[in-house]
Amino acid sequence: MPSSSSISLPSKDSLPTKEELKQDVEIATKSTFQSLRALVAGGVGGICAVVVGHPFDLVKVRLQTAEKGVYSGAMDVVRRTIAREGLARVYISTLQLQHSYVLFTNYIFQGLYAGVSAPLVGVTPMCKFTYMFYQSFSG
Amino acid sequence: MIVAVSFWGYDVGKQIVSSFSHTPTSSSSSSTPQFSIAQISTAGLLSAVPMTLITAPFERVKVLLQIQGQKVLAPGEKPKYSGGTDVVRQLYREGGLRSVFRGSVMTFARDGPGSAAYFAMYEYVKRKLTPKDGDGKLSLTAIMAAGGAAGVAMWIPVFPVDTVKSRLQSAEGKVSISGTIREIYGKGGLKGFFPGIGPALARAVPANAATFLGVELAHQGMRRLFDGEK
Repeated sequence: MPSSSSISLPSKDSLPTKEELKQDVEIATKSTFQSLRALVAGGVGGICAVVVGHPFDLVKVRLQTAEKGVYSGAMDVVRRTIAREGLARVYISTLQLQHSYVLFTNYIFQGLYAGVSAPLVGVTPMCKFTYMFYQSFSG
Repeated sequence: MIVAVSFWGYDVGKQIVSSFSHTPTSSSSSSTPQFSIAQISTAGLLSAVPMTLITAPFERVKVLLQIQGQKVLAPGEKPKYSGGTDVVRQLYREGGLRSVFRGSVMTFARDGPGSAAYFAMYEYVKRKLTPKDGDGKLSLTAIMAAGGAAGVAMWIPVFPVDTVKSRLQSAEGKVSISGTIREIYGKGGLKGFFPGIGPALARAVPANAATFLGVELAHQGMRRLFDGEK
């Protein structure tokens, strides 16, 4: 049985004090919390961007991918899309897609931060609201 | 664009940048480091790294769903894809993971420089509009103006890349980046790389204003909730 002196323990002075450890934990917790808050704020911003911006994105992609001469311009895309597919239908289908984006990222980060995901709860009701919103139209 | 991941990456990027370079703290609040615009750009560029991994396949699905409604269907004919999951399933069956992730390089080539320009412009306008006197707090209008300007600054340099990306991700069968670029140039010249820049810029102002409004309001709400700020 080894004597206690054969194991070299760091001297008592080189160990962090209880207060120092407490401070370290506090700083680390604060930094994680700040990251989470940035993530939540980004999620809220993302939802706002989708609601406002997605119809524009649809027009952009259709112009970029159409063969030359199919559309005469942005307003032509808008007119013909509404005539063919209906305004609500187009808006809802793109919203639905973006909704899965938001859910997916939440899922990933909830996994990464399992246990400290409390602040993310605030985002989820908003997702549910978005979901209900498009369900009520597309149903 | 996955804004949540982008802002998260941007935050992590800022932490990385500050750990590698000296960041003087601003005089007004001693606890907040004052980053230079170059450091902000770097943080923005870094934010695109985690983003691309997730964005690229979602962009592929999005583009395919966005264009499928244009096809005139014969009576009784069903659309090719029934939804997002169905697109992934069919792409995987036909071309494996390679097909699902097609356009990843172009997505990064768009979002890397795009994010750098985006966050740099945002910070620049925000600083220009910050009142020198008083508590130095920005009005909501100023924040939205910064967001709109950021959106425009992002789109102009990367729009040609985005056109190649949209083409690549919507094409049927096997296609390459160089082949797609040659085809666009051959059919429409330089102008061929800019269809849809109008709606992209028109979108930038309201959508990015809404984004930053949402971000700042969420931060304010959380400060109130967790820090007891009034």
